Amino acid sequence: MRTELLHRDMSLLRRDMILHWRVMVPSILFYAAFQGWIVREINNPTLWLVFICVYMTFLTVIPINVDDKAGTYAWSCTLPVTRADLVRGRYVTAWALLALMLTLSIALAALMPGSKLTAGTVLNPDGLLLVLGIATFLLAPLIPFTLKFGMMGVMLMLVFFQVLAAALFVFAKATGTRDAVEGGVAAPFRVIIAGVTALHDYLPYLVFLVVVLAALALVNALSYRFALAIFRRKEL
Amino acid sequence: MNRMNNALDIEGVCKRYEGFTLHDVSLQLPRGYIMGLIGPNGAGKTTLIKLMLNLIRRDGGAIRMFGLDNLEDEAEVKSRIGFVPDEPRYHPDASLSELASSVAPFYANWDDDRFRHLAGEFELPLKKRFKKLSHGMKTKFALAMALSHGAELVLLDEPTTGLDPVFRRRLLDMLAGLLQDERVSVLFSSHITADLERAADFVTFLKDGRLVFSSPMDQVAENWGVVKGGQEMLDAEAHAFLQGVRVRRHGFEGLTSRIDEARRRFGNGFVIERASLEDIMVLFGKEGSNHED
Repeated sequence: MRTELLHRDMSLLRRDMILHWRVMVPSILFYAAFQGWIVREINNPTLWLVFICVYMTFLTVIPINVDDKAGTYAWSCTLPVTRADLVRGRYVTAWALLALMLTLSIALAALMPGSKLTAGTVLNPDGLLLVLGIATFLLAPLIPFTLKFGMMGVMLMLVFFQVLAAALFVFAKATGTRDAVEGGVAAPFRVIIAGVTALHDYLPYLVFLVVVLAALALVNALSYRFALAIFRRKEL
Repeated sequence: MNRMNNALDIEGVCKRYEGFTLHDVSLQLPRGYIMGLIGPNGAGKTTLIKLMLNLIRRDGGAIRMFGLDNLEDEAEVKSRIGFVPDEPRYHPDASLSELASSVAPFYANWDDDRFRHLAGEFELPLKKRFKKLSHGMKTKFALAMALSHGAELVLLDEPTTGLDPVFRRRLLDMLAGLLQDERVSVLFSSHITADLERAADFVTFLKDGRLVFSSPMDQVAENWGVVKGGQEMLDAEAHAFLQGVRVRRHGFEGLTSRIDEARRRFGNGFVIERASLEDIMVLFGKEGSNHED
């Protein structure tokens, strides 16, 4: 059974690569060119990691958007796979693309002449954990959201957040409450960072790693369950 | 009846949409036969095929293929089905060979030589992108894919729409040829009834989401007839007997599923002929008649 599932996952990944390379290769090349420039400009490793995670994560949902736009889900659902296989395949493809782009980013950071960063920025347990954490928290809502609302939904979501941020900025400036507004927006992130830092400080490092990885696996599993519930309801 | 011998066994399937309901459809297709699924546009043919493939969720009933439940054994069932949609939608920028290569690993019995042979026979340009094909070529490509993995049940949803008459005939011959392998069955939806009269062993007729009949073709040919006569001959009794009536300036034509009884009931002056599938499709239900029991 496990071998069969693995075979289906690999077949779906291969299928995504064959069907989407024409869109993915230019996108990744553009990403690489941009990275080539940015590793010469940024000298803050954490900022760089956060930046590449956000960029990479949005690239990973390109196959979902292409399928949605072309209306090919119905065809996918006629293949000898279940809807659960198809949703799992989306996660496998997203994480495979993420791994590919991360490798590219590290290589550029290490090899680009004039780079202010090193491969060691990421290639250490804390750096990798940070990448995994940010990517998980971005992908977890993004994949179900994209499956549900498609490309237009992602665009509208980005516009919504931009408008919200602008409105908050205007509101904060008009009412002289900039500190309170900034504090409110940052509060959830500060809580998470404080929690992880506390675990990092008080637990043996190996236990800390296991706990954080388990938490990230749980977030991914919940996201998958949610995406599956959405996709199972989809009528094609 | 041993249900394992049926390629397809549909029992009381329902699907409700706003403005349309597929009511309680049941049918059986034994292995090794062709079934034609007929009905006017909006009758529920595509809905029924989508339910078989779990592209839409059913609201009731059961669908079994090769004795397996189409939901519980979804992957196994689909590995044994070839499907040609009414409007093939694959990745528009992918080439035909890329599309075929992308699905091959999913099928244990994928036969690349057969695919290339069919592609050659259908004159499919394998390097060409899917979006560059005409509708007819897209259908031919879908057909080549559906016939390249040893499918035991081939589902075709309006496949002849958009095909030239020469290829339409070729397609029907090909489907008949498939049946030389006695495991293979075909469900073929079409409103071009001449195609089905040529090829089908069974016929299922849907209208307004209801099953009118699902019978062997020879039974349909034996039992259904068209009664023709002058307008003045169409009395209330005749009207009640007929399952559809079309009144024209110079007379009427009415449909019956009891041609022998019609011959006894209607005397001189009436013309009674065997009904073609087109007659049945056109006349059935006209002027509020009743369904076949």
